[in-house]
Amino acid sequence: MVKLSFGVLHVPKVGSTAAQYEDASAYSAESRTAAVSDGAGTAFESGRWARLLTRAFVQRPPLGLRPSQVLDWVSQVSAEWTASIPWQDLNVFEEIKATSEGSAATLIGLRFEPLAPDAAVGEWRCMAIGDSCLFRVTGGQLVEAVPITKSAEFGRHPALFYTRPEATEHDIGKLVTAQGTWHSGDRFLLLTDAIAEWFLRQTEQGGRPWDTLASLDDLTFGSFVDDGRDHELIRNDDVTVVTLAIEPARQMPPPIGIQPPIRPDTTPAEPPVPARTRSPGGHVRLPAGPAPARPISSEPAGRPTSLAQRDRLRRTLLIVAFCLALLLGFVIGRVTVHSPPPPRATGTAGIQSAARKFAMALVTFQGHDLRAYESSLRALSTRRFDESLPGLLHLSPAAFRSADSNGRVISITISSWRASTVMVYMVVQQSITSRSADRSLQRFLLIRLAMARSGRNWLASRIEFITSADRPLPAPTLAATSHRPPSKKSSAAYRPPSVKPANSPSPPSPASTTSTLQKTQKSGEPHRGSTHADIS
Amino acid sequence: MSGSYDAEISRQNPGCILFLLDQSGSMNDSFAGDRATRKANAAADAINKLLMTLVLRCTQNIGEGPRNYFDVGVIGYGSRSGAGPCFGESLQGRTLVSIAELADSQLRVEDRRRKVSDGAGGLVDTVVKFPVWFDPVAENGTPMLEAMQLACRTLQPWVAEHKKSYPPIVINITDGEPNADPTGEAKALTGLKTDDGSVLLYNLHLSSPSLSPIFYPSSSAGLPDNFAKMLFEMSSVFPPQIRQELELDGHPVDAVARGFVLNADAVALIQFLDIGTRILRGSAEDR
Repeated sequence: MVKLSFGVLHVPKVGSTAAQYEDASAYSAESRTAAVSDGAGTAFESGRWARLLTRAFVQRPPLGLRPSQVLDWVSQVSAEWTASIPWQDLNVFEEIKATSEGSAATLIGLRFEPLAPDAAVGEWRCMAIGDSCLFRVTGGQLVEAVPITKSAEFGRHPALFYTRPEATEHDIGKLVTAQGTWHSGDRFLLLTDAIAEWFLRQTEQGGRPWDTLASLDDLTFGSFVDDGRDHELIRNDDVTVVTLAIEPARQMPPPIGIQPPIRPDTTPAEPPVPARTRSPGGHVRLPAGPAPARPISSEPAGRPTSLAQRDRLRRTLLIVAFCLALLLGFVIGRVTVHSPPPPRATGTAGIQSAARKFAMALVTFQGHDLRAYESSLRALSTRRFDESLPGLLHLSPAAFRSADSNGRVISITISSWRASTVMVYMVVQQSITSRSADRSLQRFLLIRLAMARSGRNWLASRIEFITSADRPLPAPTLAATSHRPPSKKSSAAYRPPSVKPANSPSPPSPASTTSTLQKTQKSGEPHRGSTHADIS
Repeated sequence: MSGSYDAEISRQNPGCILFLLDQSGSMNDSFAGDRATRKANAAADAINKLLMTLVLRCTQNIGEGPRNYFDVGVIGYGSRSGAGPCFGESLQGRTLVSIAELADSQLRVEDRRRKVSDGAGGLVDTVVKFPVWFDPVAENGTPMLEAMQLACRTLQPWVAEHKKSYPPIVINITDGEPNADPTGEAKALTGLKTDDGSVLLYNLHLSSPSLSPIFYPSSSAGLPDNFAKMLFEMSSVFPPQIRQELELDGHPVDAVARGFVLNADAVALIQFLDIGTRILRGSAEDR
């Protein structure tokens, strides 16, 4: 029994509202099918077209069809699009555009087929038109990319499905289909082009973008994309990430020392179908990763064996593989739980430096140069501080303009570390002199900064200001820990009682005085939905 | 030509397209040997059509209105008033307007007959809507120099306000020799620049008799007269992206080919406007 989980993260391009987001995704637990579509930016009502295409894909997947049948399938969806347009409400240009040009979008869809009710492997099938991409990650390696395999291959004119049949017919030759074998533990990603291009470029540079994406949630995704855009790592476009994870069985593995059960001889006589390419172009197996858990049948070719020999070999290999997996799991568990933090020679310096730059921008602010202050903050993080920061610092905009502020970074502590994300606590002392009130104010800010790795850079993906206007944090305690090596204990010392541990996945307690900088409305709220389905 | 010419057209960094249209008396003559068509009408139709294409390209969702990806303008030269903006209605007197303003203010929307495919290999007559922003005019001389000066005055503040934008594209459509040599003014115009590159000035010469058009020449060596050589010298070299588009279209040109067509006929006019404004496609907003 394996479980298929589905998650989606998306943000519109800068300059668009959430309503102008023109990507779409759909998922059906029942048919184990998911689809992503990217409405062409200058086409008419392309968000509507993308939504209809993805919905139709999961309801009646056009997989295993001949090109002419796919054309018919697109025509049916096109009829739905035409029927959904409120023609009587269109102005002259909308009417001309709807009738003469219509709409256009990419489409990529994926379906999982279990081989047997209890199978931990099965077949996946995919169909793609355009530059929305499928990536398959196995054993921490990217092993499959459809239909684009190199970041340089993203062009200006992707193939599209159009509402006009003759236009679709023109592009139907560029349809790519692919299929292969899924294994328990695999992760499949469906990405629209801007984030797919980033994903491939990161992979080409030796990165593990799938880990970065896995570390993001609805709170952090928007600012992560904003950071990527600001650093010109991600093109300004609508961004959609659909993750389909095939999770291993829920039952606990047998304890060490107990022989795993040998599969009964009712194992299908035919071994699982190995991954293969079925159609021209686009779909290749990437050489980078280790081969996924191969079906047992992958014995050397050309060496005839009897059925009994095959069975014995199969059982032996199963036992060996299971023991190895257990041993590996045990080792990893030991490392994760008991070992000291991983080496931080250069990484720590990078994080410390990025966090310090951020903090220094905060504390060296001089009230008379608000513009420079805001732009320096924006250079470090894509948050729109001009609207949110005064409120977070409990200053009215007027007071902000008339105040001089200075301060220092008291401490920076890395409190949790994963491959691509870190949580940093900073304590900042800020001195504010209000000219109008003719008084000085000392404020301590406890800042929790979530940082995600993007290539060689560490980018702020979430910033939380934890402070109290009435009861500033006690300075001596904080100052005393300023140069201690990071440890759970030191980070805990900074935490007001109501703040949850830094690596806690739950949001800050409402009882705390935590202010979380939400993504600004300007570029729309990121969204994540998730659902689960049993795959077999 | 200097610059990278790779800025993406967006609402934050819109593009700018300015037409300079010869409205001298000779524009009343027939176009490329076709006695039924006046050059002035063909040029006005082509520009009105392109303006509609721009509005359509920026129209994306019902009820949203067109997105302001472009500022556009049409400067006529040759009419009684010399050189001046051509728009009518509420846009009268405006040299550059946004796409949203353009969409809100046409002179009229005409019903025009067009032959379209019937889907079975034949053609059927159909009526299409054709918005008109300005009417053809053909009178007096050819004050191209004044038009270049007005273009320069118009674009100076635009490039200052849109440093990150793709540089303005100026398309000059003419049929004859100007009253005075505008080469200096053209140089001043193409001296304006954004961070992305200098203003691009393209020239299209409309022919009265039916002659073979000369497309995108790389040198003035084969050009027939000094007028053609002058237009060639004024024209900008195509940026690499436009050269790539031409190559994709099956019309490769060399690295110093200029945005200039001599003796254009109706087909050349449409092709030229398409290629000259090809930045409309392939921008980030396009995907």
